[in-house]
Amino acid sequence: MTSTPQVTPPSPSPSRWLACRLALVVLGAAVISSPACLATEELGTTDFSCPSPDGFRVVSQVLERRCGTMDCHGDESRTFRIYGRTGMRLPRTEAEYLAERQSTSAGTSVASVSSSDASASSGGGGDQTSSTGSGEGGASIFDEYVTGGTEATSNAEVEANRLSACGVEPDLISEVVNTEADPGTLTLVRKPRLTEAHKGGLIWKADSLQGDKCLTTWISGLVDVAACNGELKRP
Amino acid sequence: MTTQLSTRPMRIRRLLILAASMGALALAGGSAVVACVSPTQDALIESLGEEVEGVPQGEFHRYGQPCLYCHGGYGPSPQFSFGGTVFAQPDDEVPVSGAKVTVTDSTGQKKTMTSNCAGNFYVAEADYKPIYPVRIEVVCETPAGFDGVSFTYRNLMGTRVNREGSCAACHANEPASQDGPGRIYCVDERYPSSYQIDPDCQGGPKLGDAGSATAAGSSVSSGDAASSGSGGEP
Repeated sequence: MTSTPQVTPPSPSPSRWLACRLALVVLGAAVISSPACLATEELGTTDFSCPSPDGFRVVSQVLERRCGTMDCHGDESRTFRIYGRTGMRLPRTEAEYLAERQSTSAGTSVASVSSSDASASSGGGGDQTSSTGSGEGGASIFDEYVTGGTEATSNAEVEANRLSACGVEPDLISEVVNTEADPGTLTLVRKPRLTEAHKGGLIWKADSLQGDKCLTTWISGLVDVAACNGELKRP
Repeated sequence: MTTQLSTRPMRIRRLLILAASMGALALAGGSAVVACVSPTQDALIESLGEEVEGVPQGEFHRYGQPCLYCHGGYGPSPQFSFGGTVFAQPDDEVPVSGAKVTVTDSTGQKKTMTSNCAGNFYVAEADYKPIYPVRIEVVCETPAGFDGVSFTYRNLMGTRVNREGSCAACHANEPASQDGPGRIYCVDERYPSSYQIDPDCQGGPKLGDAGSATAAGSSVSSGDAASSGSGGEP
């Protein structure tokens, strides 16, 4: 009796079986995720708590100096973007800028500045402008509303910086403001501490944690102005 | 036994098919695989435009442009830690030769570069690899003016640099604006400048280029009175 070689039908190989399952999973995920797109009418706004503007100007100065250089967060492509005299300016036309400036000097600014800010402003960076009216020699003060110009960080810029800081994690900062979470859970706090990966590295040096204290006390509700000024004195 | 007889040729066939497929894939996409391109970086480099005719690639080319777009480790160009261009005044394009640009990193390590006749300065990464942030100052000694007097200006950058080695990434070749501090310069626009364009320089602007006439004439430009006097780079 001769045995003829018989070809058995190949059973699905494990790799092919795996590929089929993977394809099914991908297809399933696509089907599930497609209804997740929101229509425009479904979009809306939600309220969240952001730490107070009171006393924020000096905190803004610290952020401008430590975070707001143009090669870091002084760049409009960043989610956490910082405006200020030595970095990127909040885009303004001359008319807008002069109108804002006038309303600020009349005391009707959106971002209120506490008396403690005035003493802190001498720390450098984004201190309030000392010039009033038009510049000398007929030059417009708007000409100095440029990076590195003499026009100080405006109240609108300070307010934009505050909202930017809150906008990093609005839900979480809301919890921190409502004392439901610790400031140390915020990316805004964790990055400069380098407890979370940060391309800019460690910002608050081990020998001086005043910047960290400045930021966290603002978030917690009462700015430690001395700590902020201490940070501003660091090179 | 029967299975062995039947499957061995199949295995060989599969291996051959696999090898052929991989070879075809390598041939088809070979150039892309080898180049490992970055479309973002390519777009940045393309935005710089062509080389100026008559100026060869080298230390005098592309004044005022962000050096590290090409010299930052992307592509075959020599790799720099820092590079930029020093101009005489914020509102003109007269390059400054001999300006000393000193970078001090966070460990105190220093490196001084000297600008050439196109205003360009740079340091190779092999010679200096700073630990950021860094502090930068520019010291310029002006040529003697009509009265035979020269001045030394020392300009300290107002902020630290945290990561960017291309000075022109922020200091674009234009006056200061809401988007940037403008040129690196030696002399505040409130003061006259005795710097002139070197006609024999291989690179840099040529006499008659836009902006050069006022610079060579060294008059005080308009709008200078409002300047802060903070010195140098805004």
